[in-house]
Amino acid sequence: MSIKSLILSFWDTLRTPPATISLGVISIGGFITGIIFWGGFNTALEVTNTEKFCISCHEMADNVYLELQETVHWSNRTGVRATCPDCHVPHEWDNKIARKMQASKEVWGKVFGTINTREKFLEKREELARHEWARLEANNSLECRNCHDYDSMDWDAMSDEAVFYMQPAAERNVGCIECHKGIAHHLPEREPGTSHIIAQLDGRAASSLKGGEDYFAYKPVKIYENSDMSTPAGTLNLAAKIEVTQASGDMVEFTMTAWRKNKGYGRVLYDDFGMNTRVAVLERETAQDEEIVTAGTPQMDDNTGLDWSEVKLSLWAPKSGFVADPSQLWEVAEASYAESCSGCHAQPDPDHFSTNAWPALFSGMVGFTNMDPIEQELVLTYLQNHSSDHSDAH
Amino acid sequence: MPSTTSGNSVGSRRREWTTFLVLTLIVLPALAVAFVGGYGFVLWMSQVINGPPTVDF
Ligand code: HEC
Ligand code: HEC
Ligand code: HEC
Ligand code: HEC
Repeated sequence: MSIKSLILSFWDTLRTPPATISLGVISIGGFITGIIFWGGFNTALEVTNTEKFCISCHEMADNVYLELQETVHWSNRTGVRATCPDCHVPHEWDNKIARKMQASKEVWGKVFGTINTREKFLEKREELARHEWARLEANNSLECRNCHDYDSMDWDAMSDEAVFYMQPAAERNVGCIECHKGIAHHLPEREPGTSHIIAQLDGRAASSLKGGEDYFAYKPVKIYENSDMSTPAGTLNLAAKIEVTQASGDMVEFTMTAWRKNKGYGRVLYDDFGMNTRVAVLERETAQDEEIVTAGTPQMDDNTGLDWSEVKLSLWAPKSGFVADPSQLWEVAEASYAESCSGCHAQPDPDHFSTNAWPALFSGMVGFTNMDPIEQELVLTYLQNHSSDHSDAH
Repeated sequence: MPSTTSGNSVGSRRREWTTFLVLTLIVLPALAVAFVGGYGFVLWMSQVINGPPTVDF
């Protein structure tokens, strides 16, 4: 019998009143299988909503599960355990089903071994974490608040630090994840080279550096006394401005004008007289070498009583790591500043504070953000370069 | 009743039971799962496009 005639005869039997089975048997049979199906369906949902199921993949068991065991959500004085689905699976029926379907992608990843080693997992971790942050930011940390509630917090029982930061947040109803990232697992590790900021800026790098033109470092750039890179001279900071004099292979010779404090070895170079905007840090020998670094007459900064001198230097740097237009840097910095510093209060206008006030203000705040070191340096440099000192000058 | 099924009561008994069991044990559960899964899939895709669901407290 062909498939078609099989289906046809199935259909025929369906549309004909049964001759041999009673209506009672059909109703009861349908009713009971319905109950069994519904029970089975919910059991399946529940089984896939247990921690045991989540860690049945070694991808989860060997990484995030082990890390969870070091945290307060694994063992605490109240004895309440937060399990994976408590934090990761929505409780509303629709969103839960959507999340289960989304897991089909995870099954795919499992089958094809997308993160089957620790290295692959760590590489992917930032992306995975960003998905969870986006989800929790959108739903205002709903999963955390299934257990925690601002209204039930006893401020008197909390540390001063917690009260200081959290009471204003409670008034504005800010979601927990804004400040409590990495609460259950290690935060994604970032090497300077893998910063997502650098990745954005790499695309904007100047492809060839021409003599006589100005360029700006977009990442920390190692500099040398000579073109064969044999004698390190120090490091340029982000946004350091250089003027290229000549190119030779992968290296360029450049000159730079900056200021230093006449104190100690003068290794740290600053943007302008009296301004604590770092542009470079030199090796001690380089800083002391008067053939490389020529200093002008000292001037006294009345605010600190320190003498500052303008310095000119001529050194070598690799060609990669520069943009032609500093606004390329500021665009990226501005976006990062707006994203990271607006969680608890509107981010202050950069020109609300002076160049020298920003570093202390910034370092007091940056611990509450998820910025990587490069991003921190970029945003601080951006703030300093757009501070009240600069808005007055221009 | 169509003429093909009359007369042979053993044959129609078999056929009716098979049809009943196939329908309630296989076809309908499969359809139910497909509908729920399809609904979840549509939601997922809408979340991919519109971003994750938001909740106001
Ligand atoms: C299953 C319920 C549950 C969920 C879900 C949950 N927590 Fe917790 N959380 C607890 C319990 C229980 C404690 C420990 C209370 C105690 O100190 O005894 C705790 C403690 C904490 C602490 C205190 C940490 C410390 O060092 O004292 C923070 C912060 C916290 N949770 C944040 C979060 C965030 C953020 C989320 C969402 C990602 C979340 N929690 C989800 C139950 C939960
Ligand atoms: C504005 C940032 C911010 C937000 C938003 C925030 N917290 Fe906190 N929270 C902090 C800081 C800062 C501390 C103190 C340092 C620490 O323990 O990490 C803290 C501490 C805590 C503690 C430990 C308190 C103690 O001293 O024993 C708990 C529990 C906690 N937070 C839970 C939550 C929960 C739940 C939410 C969301 C409903 C939340 N926090 C939202 C910043 C915040
Ligand atoms: C207390 C809430 C909580 C619990 C419990 C929890 N997670 Fe997470 N998980 C988070 C948060 C929040 C993130 C987002 C990244 C971050 O902040 O560390 C995350 C991120 C992840 C990630 C993305 C990779 C990464 O490390 O950022 C995976 C995978 C993950 N969780 C799996 C699990 C598994 C498996 C369990 C159970 C063993 C579990 N989580 C238990 C809150 C939780
Ligand atoms: C965890 C929440 C939180 C985050 C995130 C945060 N801040 Fe703050 N910020 C505060 C609190 C709380 C104060 C203290 C308010 C006060 O003293 O009145 C503050 C104060 C400040 C002040 C001082 C304002 C003044 O008038 O003196 C500056 C400047 C500032 N923050 C900048 C930043 C920058 C830059 C970032 C990003 C790196 C940032 N904040 C991120 C919570 C936060």
